[in-house]
Amino acid sequence: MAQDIGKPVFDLILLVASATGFVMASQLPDVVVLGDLSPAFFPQLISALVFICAVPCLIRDTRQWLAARHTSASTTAPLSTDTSASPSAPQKASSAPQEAPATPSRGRRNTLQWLFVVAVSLAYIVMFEPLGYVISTTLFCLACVIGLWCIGGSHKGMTGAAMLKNIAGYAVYALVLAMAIYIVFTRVFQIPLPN
Amino acid sequence: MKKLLGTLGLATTLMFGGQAALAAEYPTKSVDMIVPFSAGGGNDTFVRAMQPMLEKRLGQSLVIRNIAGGGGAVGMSRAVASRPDGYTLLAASNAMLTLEAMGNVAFTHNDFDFIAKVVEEPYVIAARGDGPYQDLDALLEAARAGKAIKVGVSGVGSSAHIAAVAMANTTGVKFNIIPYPGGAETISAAMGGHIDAVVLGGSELRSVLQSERLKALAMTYDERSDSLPGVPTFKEEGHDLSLTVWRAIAAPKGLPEDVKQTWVAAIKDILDSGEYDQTAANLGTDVAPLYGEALDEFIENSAVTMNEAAGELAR
Amino acid sequence: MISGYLEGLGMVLQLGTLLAIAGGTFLGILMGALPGLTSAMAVALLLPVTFGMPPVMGIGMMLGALCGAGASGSIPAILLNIPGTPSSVATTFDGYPMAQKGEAGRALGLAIVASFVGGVASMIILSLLAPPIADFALRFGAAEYFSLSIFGLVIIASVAGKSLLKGMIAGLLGFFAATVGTDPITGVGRFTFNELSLLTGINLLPALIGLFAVSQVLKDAFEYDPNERLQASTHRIEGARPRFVETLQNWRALLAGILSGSVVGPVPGAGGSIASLVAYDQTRRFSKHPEKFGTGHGAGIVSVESANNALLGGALIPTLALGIPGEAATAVLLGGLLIQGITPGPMLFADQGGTIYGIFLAYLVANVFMLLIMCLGIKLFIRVLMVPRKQLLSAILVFCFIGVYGVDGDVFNLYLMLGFGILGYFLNRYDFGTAPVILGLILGPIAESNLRRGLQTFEGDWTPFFTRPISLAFLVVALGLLVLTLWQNYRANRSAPPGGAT
Repeated sequence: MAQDIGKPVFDLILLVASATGFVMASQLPDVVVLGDLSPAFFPQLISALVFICAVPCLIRDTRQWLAARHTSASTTAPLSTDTSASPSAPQKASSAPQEAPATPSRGRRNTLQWLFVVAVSLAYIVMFEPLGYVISTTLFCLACVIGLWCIGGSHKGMTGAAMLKNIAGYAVYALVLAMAIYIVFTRVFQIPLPN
Repeated sequence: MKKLLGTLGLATTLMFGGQAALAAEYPTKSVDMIVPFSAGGGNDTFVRAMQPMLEKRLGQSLVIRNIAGGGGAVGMSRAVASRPDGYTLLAASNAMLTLEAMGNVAFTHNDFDFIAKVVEEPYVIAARGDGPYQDLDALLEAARAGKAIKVGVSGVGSSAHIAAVAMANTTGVKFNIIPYPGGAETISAAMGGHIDAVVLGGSELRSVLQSERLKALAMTYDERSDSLPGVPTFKEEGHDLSLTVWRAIAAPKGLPEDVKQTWVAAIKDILDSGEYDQTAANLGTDVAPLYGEALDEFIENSAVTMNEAAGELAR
Repeated sequence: MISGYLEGLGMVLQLGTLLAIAGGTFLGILMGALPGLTSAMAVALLLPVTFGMPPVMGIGMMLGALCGAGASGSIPAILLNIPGTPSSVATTFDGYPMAQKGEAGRALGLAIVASFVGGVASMIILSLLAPPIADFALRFGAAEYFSLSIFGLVIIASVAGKSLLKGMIAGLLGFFAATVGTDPITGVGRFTFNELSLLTGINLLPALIGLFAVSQVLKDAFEYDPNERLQASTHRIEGARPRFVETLQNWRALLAGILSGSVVGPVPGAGGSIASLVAYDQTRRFSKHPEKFGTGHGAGIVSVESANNALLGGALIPTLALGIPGEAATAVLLGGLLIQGITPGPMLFADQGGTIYGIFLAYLVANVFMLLIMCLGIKLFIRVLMVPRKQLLSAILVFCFIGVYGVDGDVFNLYLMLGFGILGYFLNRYDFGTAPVILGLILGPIAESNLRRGLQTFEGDWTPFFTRPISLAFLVVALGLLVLTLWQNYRANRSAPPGGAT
């Protein structure tokens, strides 16, 4: 089954985060009005509960992971189409060694696609107001589509002209989408977008 | 391909069209009006109701930008940071002074040029229509007798909250002030008898006062008002308290004088024509125009009052 | 009353009014279908347009926008697993699985008819029972709100995925996120890190869009396979038609939706977001086949969507009968009413004037237009699935970003949305689920602030929470449901093989 190292790692992150939350909450100023609980009461209660609930999760997930590691030595885990049990982990936060997935190239490609979309989205947010809506959105759409196209490997084996034609098509798509949304938002919805 | 070129052309116009022609008479392009709250609040409605009238007089479209968050702080900070060229204005209200008094923001009212005050409304203290407190004295009497009078306000640290504290201070009683998330929740708590009284802006209370579910005990204008017939002021009840909820148009500091005059003229024209009167009355507000030095003086005085009232609340 | 309706009918059945209602409905459908844009925005946008109109025409236009936006939220929820509003979160539970099975048309057909029936039923309830229901809603004080939110939090057990424990953690995470911002009672800043945008707390909308839409896009990006055939080729477009008979066959679900929309919907500040989840939860609990829910079960869609539009009628009850709007969209509508010179309150119903009846009929007409437009559009909506994956991914992201930006114009919310998207991705991946987070985020502040507000009101006394009848009833039902869930969970655990799901 799932031999995703990410599972126990995420539980661990929850443990650390809830402990941090508890400490931060206890530093809140203790102001109490008539009959009231302190502002820190709920944050402390919640983080304590998260901590308590995360412990059994961590234990169970670690066990499962260890067990799966054991069995995977003898049998190859079948590649499930259901991603919630997908064997490869795009663990951005963890530097822990990754379990070798059934098809390593595919696993790495998936992770790359994921990271790529996150990175382009972040760039989009940063550039949204400085560049204005039209330019940033066109670039964002173009980057998304071309990026996935390249990472997916569809461009391999194409002639230069065919590639150019494809890219031109994507560019038209990006520009038309950006302009169409611009017109609908600013003209029909009267929602201003940055210029 | 022609289509594509057309789209490109349109894109270029949209992107660069605005920057040309600075020399021509203001306004040469659409004007942004920052409303520092989400669509639908009193601050938003007052500008949206004026929008068509302003557009007609300015000859350019007015773009309402709702930049909400932080109780108005986000939108106001954005206004402060924008260029004072007359193309970014702010729908201001006393929420600005409240934020300033509570010490939550880096700007003050001095970072703005105020163009015109448009409408105002009083703070009203109201109790249940069929409840035990039919006038201010009855309420204050009960409070003096040691009963913890529960007074609901909309939002902790809001201007209504500050107004309630000011009312308690000037009348010399102690209220158990209970903050609710918004006006609607506060009013329903009072109507359901869960609290004894509410302190809110007059416009929020308008329809419940008319239906007599709640009864206004007193309000914070200097003089009685036609919009709230029969409601006494704190002053005539012998308490020196004068506060108003005001709504105005402001710009970041450094607005060119001619731009300011263009706007003053437009707003004066609208208010003088009486076009806006009915809308303002329906919204439960009073048209109370103020321009120029008189306006600056008014803002300064309100800021002082708010700061004093907020005193113990601000931390 | 009959003469009132006739007079109202005369106001509605005019070309201009009908066109205005149709236009409002169309705009509402458009904005409701785009993630991030809200019905409140649709109504606010129409506000200046309605100034010059006669009352019934202007109000009808705004009601059309409300009605359209309420129904069309189901489109992205079903097709893309992206709820545009908190109230269509539960539509994704069964709508998306059904679409995954190639039956997107059927899911849409059920949602449209259920929305229509819910809307019409709530209009009838509104016109007959508004004053008594409004008075009932007034009996909700701090204690009742607190107990209602506890009752709502038990729903987490129903929407938690594979593991109850992890679902609870997810709910608690949402609850914790809800404590960010100015403390509602004392005004102390909690976890705001001197960020102005966090002063009033974490906005629900960016969190919602992040947790559901962005996380789904990230999942799709992760799974993106250039060699994959287009998904739509497996979809039967001819199946995309309104499902009148099948919807009515699910009459229990329909009834649950209408009841919860009409009873929970009117509670100001709380009802709107949870009415559809309550409907889903109740339908599932009392179904003969609870195990089918979450796998693309028709009754799930019907209960949620009927509740979704019934709660609009529900939310109109306090707005019209008391002048108290329950949430943002009806608050804008109230502004519109006031500008038109209509004062909501008991008098509005008592007066013999035809206006109020005209408003009821306009709402009815809006529902009819909604049904018509959605039925005409259904084959068009489904074509969204024919857009190639990578283009669709980027387009959805753009809509999410500018939708969230458009509401408050605050870039901070975009970072927040992306952050919640990444969090939501991992929560889904590791079986925590994202629906409990939203429940925690919505109900958490209601629970906390009302518990503390109650203690303040009762001067430190805890007993009223247990002695006030409505409050007690909610707590008892919540406790009963909790025990039931734990027991079922325990039994399922015992019968399940070791190492299996918990």
